[in-house]
Amino acid sequence: MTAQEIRAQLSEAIRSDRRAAAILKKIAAGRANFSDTMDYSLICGRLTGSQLAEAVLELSEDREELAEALLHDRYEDINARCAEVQTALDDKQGLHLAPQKADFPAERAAKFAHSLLDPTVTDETIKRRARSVSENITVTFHDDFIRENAAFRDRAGLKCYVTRSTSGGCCDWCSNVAGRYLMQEQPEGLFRRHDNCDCTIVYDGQVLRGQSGVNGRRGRRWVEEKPKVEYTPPKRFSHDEAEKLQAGKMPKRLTNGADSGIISSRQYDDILQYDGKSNFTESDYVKAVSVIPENLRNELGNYITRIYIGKDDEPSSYNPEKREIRLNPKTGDKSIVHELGHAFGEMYNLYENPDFLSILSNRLELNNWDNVVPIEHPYKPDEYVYVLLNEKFVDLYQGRIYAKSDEIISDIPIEPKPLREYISVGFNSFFNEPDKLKEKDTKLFDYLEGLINGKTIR
Amino acid sequence: MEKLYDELSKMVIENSKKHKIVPMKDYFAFFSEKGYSKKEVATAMAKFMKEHNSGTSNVYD
Repeated sequence: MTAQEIRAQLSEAIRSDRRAAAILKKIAAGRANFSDTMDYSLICGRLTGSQLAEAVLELSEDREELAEALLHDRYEDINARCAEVQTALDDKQGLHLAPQKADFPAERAAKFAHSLLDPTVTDETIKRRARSVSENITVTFHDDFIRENAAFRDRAGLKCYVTRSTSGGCCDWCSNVAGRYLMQEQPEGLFRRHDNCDCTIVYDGQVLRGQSGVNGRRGRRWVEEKPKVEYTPPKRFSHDEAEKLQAGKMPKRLTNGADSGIISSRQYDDILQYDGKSNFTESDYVKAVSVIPENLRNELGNYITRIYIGKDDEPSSYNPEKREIRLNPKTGDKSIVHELGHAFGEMYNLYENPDFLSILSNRLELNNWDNVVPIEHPYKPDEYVYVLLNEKFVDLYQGRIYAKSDEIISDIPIEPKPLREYISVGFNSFFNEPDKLKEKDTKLFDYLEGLINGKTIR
Repeated sequence: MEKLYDELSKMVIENSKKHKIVPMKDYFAFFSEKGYSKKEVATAMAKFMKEHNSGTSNVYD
């Protein structure tokens, strides 16, 4: 049998061992601890010893090489298993420390391998050496891993305890050294092992260690040191500075004239893109909006990007994202103030204004959908929209709800914000039929009057 | 439910063509007598509106 075949045979023997197989399964499942890997190492040691003892006399020149190769195989195997267990234990504690691999005891392995060629001893002695020494060295791979990692974690600030326990009926030396020790406080020789020793050496208790106390000793509790943040006192503004800052955040007031410097030079007349494709002349549009005070007209002109004539089958509308007004060529002059009302509401962010929303909600039955009516869209045949009925509305369309069509649920409240026609119809009425608005919805009329005349502080 | 939907659709369209203002509570009451719950009527209405609406754009008419 060649050295390669013997190595393969040993690996197979370990895999076939029922106890070893059970431990490997446990390791793979992440449930193993170092007691399990210790057992695994003892099994590996026992099988390595018996395999080498059985084969050692059959080999002559390869004997040394085989012994070293078998040990190195087990060194890699045991370190890999221990690393798996260490990683699994760390994961459970939320730690991310790489397992440390102990050095291979090359000198010791070489001396042992060379001793198997000793011509001065009997074959029985060679077989005994092959069995017991290889077994001992194999088990110490586990001890080396434990020592290396316990020391590393101790340096990293973890509180590690090393425990050596005997299996009973042990020698006096083992009994004396057995016990649980804080790493770096263990007795000398804790990690040593004599032939045929089956003591278990593990470490545990990876507790984060605390800061040093005033007496220079480390405490038991871990205290996280918070990064020091330099204290910056809050900036104190003068009265003028505060007023200026506040004014910058406030919405523009309608009474700001062109001379205030807030409103740019672009005016309402500049944004009307009249292309002649309409039932109305440009002067009709100019006349339609002349009911709006000039300063407000220009403020709207500064806010809106353009007003243009759309197609015959497209209803007049306001696009708040593009800030565009599209006018239907047949109804344009009548709807232009209405669409400007939408822009007005957006410009002053009225649907985020609690005062406005309170006026909007006043007297409305918003608790359920009982008073909601499905009607055909006035300008889009075969399309249906929801409108909320209420006597304060100037017309039916003022109660339109811009809700998703499938939002209706009989017993949920209606949100006031989707009633976007409240402001546009109200705005148009304020200028074109003020008496009606005043009679129907006095609060809205007063609010608009205050807003437009600059009396309402927003 | 299909029968409810068909009947409700027909009523909504007819009422609208005749400019009759019929609030949801009347639809609820009418179909309640036929054994339908408010929730079933609301669901049928939502379906009708979904099929008779070009979408929910952010453009205001």
